[in-house]
Amino acid sequence: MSNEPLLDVRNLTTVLDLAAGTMPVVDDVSFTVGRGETLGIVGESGSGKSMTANSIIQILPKKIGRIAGGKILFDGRDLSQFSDADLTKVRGREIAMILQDPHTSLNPVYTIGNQVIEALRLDDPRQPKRSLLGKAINVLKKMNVADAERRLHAFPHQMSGGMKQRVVGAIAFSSAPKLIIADEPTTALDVTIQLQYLQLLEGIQKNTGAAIIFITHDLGIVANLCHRLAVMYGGRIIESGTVKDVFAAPSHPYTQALLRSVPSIDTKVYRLYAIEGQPPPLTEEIAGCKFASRCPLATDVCRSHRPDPKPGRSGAVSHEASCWHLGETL
Amino acid sequence: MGRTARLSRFMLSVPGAAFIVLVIVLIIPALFADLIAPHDPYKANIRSRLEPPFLFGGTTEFILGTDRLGRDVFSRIIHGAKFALGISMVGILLGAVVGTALGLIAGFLRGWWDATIMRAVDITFALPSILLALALASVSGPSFELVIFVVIFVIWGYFARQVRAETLALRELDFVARARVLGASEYRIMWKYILPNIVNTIVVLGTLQIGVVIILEATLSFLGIGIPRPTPAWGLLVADGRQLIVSSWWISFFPGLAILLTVMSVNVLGDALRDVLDPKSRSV
Amino acid sequence: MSLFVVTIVVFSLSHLTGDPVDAMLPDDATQQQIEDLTKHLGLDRPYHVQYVTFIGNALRGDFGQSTKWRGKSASTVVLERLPATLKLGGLAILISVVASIPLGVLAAVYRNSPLDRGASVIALLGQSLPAFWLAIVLMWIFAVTLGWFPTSGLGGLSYMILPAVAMAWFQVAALTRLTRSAMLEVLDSEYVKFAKVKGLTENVVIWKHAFRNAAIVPVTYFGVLAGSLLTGSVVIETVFAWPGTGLLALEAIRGRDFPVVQFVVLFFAVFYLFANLVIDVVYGLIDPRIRQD
Repeated sequence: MSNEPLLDVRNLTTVLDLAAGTMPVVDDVSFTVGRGETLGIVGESGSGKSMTANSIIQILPKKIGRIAGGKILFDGRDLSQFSDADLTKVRGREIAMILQDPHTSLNPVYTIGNQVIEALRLDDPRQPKRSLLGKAINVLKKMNVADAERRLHAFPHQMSGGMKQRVVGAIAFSSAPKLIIADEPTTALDVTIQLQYLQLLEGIQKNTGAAIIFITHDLGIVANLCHRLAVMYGGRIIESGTVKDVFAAPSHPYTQALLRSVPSIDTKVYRLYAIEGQPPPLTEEIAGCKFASRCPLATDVCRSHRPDPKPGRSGAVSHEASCWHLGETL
Repeated sequence: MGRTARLSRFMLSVPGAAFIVLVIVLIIPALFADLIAPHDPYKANIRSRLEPPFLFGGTTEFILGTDRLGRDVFSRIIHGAKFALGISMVGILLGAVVGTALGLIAGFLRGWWDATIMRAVDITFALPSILLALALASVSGPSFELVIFVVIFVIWGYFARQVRAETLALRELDFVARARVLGASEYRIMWKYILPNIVNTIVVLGTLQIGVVIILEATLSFLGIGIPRPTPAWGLLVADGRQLIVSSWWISFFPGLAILLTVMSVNVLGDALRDVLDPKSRSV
Repeated sequence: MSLFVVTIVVFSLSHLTGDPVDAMLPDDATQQQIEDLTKHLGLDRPYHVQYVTFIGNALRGDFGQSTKWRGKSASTVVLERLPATLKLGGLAILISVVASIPLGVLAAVYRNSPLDRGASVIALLGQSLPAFWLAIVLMWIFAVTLGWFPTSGLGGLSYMILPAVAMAWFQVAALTRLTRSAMLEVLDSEYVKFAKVKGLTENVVIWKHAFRNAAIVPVTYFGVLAGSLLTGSVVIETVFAWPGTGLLALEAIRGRDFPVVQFVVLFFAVFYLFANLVIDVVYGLIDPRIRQD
């Protein structure tokens, strides 16, 4: 039982039904997350990394977005078959989420206390607020929210972005979830605060044993925080493996390009290396490799046939990449 | 898509249907009333008083029945279209001119002008328009000029507010600054640089106001403080049948239906026009 | 400031509304009688003096004697009729809110559903129906033909339903539209998404998190709502012979009872300004960001 991964996503396909046609935003994606493990999902905007996260917790755009295939096995249960009511019981309790922009994730018309306590009494909304005040303060203190007693009565607009994101984190951790999905949680924060925040998350993770999925475009975060990573491009995972293996022996040309500007794992500055051209529009049906149009190594087979995952260059079992030219270097 | 195909697709859409209704109920009757109307709208005929409509016990002679003076309701509605169309066109045109001019001045000159004009807008919105009309009507009696005046009074503020807001935004843009550096006068800048950029807004606002104005005019006429009798304005026609609703419902019913259909199709077309001309305000 | 201009407008309006002396005296009144009465009413003095007197009296609540309803002050005449209008207007506001808020919210939540399309048809109808005609048609169908309600006059709830519905109709349309578009915007926000991933049920997400924010927009509309109900009262009270201030205004102007006209117009304007003041306060209660400033 304990060997089984916490989350096992198999062949997940999520589509958006738009006027222009059906757009596969997540295209046959498979990955696993073990208990207490941190997985980084890396990609440019539009690569499908956020949609993958939203599919797991099923907050896709109403009526437009839907899971078209695959399984989302969480703790042995397939979330893709869950009803709305059942999903509500999973959300916030077993799977929590931290969104990108702290300035907009808290409701401007309610106090911090109201929004924290609301999360503390999910199972019994009639519990009196007073009885939960102490617990709310505790939860905030764990996320190093300074002056927590007073903050309970503050409104979001009276706090800084970093402080608000700590509140969001506190709410996410409040029910001791097994999995936290953090969708670019530090993108909107100052660089100095980013690091503090990540350390906080790491600390709490160690204490609670929660698994984390980190959605990011920042390879620095991945290198520092994650055990494994998956690189997404055009709605597909094109390379995955342990951080060590992938950083040491990037196998897909796209991953190589991403890592090209990164001198070593220890340096703190890693940003996405700019690659010529744009990702193809998701509405366009592409038979072969989605990166082919921008790839200097692309040949006819890349354009006509989709590459399957193959062992990556590190030779490690868990390291896989989907490319027809794994032997070649960019 | 070919021209015919585009045209037929438009006609099958909701705005297309609204356009057809508008042409049938308002525009054709307004332009060709004398040709279409089967009877003289003013001529009373004692022998054919209170005839019910065709299919409700009446004859094809008076399709929509007659009023208590024996006048043909159908013909009176057709002639009424002239007044609905005329008053709303003239009133909106004048209201738009007044409002746009003052809005331009407020947004462009700012300062004292801005404060005064915007305060005037607030006051206009605070005064109950119907009461203003009532008060004025008791001096002059009901008249066309009165209706036009009240229409201008009611709608100019909407134009002034919107035009001022857009002017404020536009005057900060580079091309205005460039024109000023090149020595263009304030008047020229307003006329040549600002105004052309807000024409779409004015057109959209004007279209959206047509329905409001037609209802306002009809309401004033209905209360006896709008268009004077015996003009067959739609509001007056409804008023004519008000006391007779128990026995002769058609006198009030059909003119009101004409108002409803007209205003409804104008509103649909206005929304469609806004989506085309002013996409940023498109309702989600 | 607004109030000052309104008083001037009201003052000059009433002087435009014809000479009240003519209206008060019989047609065969002598020149002497006319002059006496003019003097008595202070109408021979210069306009600015009359205005100052008018304001002074107005501040003391004295708007002069009604010329049509003899022996009563203008304010008494109007205030006597006020409860009837407030009752009708209150019911109309109640109907508009109760009908349009849930409809607008649900239309946004179930966007593009049959319910949403139904709501947009109602909104369109509401904006396109002339109130006076709707009033007559309602009376014809429900009072005359079906006999469910009395046709007109002052009375209990059964007398009020048709007029209130006719009065509320336009507001239902406007409020539904406003609520729907405000809700659509809010439902798209990150905090609604976050409320959902927190594990809150859809009802709590919609009504606690989304609606409270969306409500700011319809609340700002209440000022307009209050104003248009007063205007609407003139039309609706006329059709249903409901003896409120709207009907009174029409009677007073026809009878050239200008102290009463002055008071009604001023009263309506003050009511409107006051309603907007109340809305600013409510606005602050809903949105803490405004309360702070």
